[in-house]
Amino acid sequence: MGSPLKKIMLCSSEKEIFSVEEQVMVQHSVIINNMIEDGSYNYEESKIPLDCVDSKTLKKVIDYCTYHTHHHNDNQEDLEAWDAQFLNVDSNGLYDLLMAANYLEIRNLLDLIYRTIKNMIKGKKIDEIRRILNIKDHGFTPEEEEQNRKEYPHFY
Amino acid sequence: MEKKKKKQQLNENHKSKSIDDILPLELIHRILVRVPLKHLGRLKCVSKLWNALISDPDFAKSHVHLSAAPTHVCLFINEDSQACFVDIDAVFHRHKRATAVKEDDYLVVVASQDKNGQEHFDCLSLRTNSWTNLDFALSKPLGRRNWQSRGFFLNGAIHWSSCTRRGRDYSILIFDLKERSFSTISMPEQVMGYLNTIFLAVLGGCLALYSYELSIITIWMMKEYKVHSSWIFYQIFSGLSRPLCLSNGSDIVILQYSPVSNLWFAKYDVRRELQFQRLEYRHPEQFVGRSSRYIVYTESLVPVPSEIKDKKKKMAIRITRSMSNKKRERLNRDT
Repeated sequence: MGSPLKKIMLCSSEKEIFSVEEQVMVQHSVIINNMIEDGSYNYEESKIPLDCVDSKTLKKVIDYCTYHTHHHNDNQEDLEAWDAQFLNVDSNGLYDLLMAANYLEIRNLLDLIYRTIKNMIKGKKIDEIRRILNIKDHGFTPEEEEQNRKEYPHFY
Repeated sequence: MEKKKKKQQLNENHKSKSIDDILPLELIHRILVRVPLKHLGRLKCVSKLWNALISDPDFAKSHVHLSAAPTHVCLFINEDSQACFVDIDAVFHRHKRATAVKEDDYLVVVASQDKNGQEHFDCLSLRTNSWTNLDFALSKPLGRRNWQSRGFFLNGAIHWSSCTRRGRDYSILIFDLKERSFSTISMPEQVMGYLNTIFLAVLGGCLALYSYELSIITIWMMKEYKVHSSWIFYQIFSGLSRPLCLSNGSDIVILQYSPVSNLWFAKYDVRRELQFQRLEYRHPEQFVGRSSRYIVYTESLVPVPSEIKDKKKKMAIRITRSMSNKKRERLNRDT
């Protein structure tokens, strides 16, 4: 009868199973919405395998979708504050979330992460950007790097 | 092979993950196209991969779609043809919002009046270097009109405010660059019969009108584009001043003239009951007291076709970057 509390199962790369309200994932993930709509998900037996998403990341993704489903009427400032707190993770955590959001096609989460990384690098010096994003192998030859540093000393 | 191995190693060692090794190129591309133009030059030096991504001609196109932000600049020109730009958003350290330009071409649209007072519209494409007459796109002749503003760009269309000579009937003429079609929006009823010039601007991403006399600035904002019932009315009482721009961040920015040489920029936040903030801006000496023009432009990586650029005489305008970074920092700290 289309009960709002119908659950679906998601399975992380560690084979841990998460039970989530269907509504929550359908509203946010294009992929899961498609699976439910075209009937390829069987409520009795199936669980959706997410082999490239680890448990820690999947839990965060579910948290995000759940919060935004139940609080979509909150005012913009409160939601932004919650999002900022939610993304207060190290750069590895951020990349994992980005990959997961990309895989599940969660558009508002994708957009949020793009924006966050953009703000992390905007207006920063190159050495600082490389440190934040952990870029050790920049791919320039020592000569090119030296040339760049000489030409644009204020960038570094 | 070598690279794959390295990638694996990096993945195993959780601490040394680099963005270039983990994220697919497509995702890095999607982050970089969101970075405003003025920060992109620097990012080319971050890594060879980023350099290749940003230098790609397709990058310029996606960037203009997504990140080309309108920039509010106050331009001062003195008699020696020296120009000075003041980036108003930088003065107030504002965030910008995106506007989309649909094609990788630059169009110059010219409205002109012939001897009989008939309006004509022509469009120059810089890519093909050819003129197209747009009069066919007008459903009926416009008749004699008073033009109140220069063309104003918003939502992929150019907007002009105008009124009929007799009826004082005000309307906004819109030319959609993509559709190549004209349309009009009528102005709010209170404007009809208004004697002061009505200017166009963007306020909080919405089309807005403003007019000023002595110490009162009157503003109408169209909350929903092309929805006549959504006009909102504001009035600001300020001293000797005039509105300079209605900034995208929903701030009304005005330029105040002071008897002493320095200029004051003031802004009113429309979301917070016109909360007021004022900043002094120290002018380079040679620009003091000169006439100023305010312009909005969109930064873009899409190159201007070089053939045309070469034909133009090079203008001998020396541009002084008026505000050094140090000064800017100081300003930000003071606010």
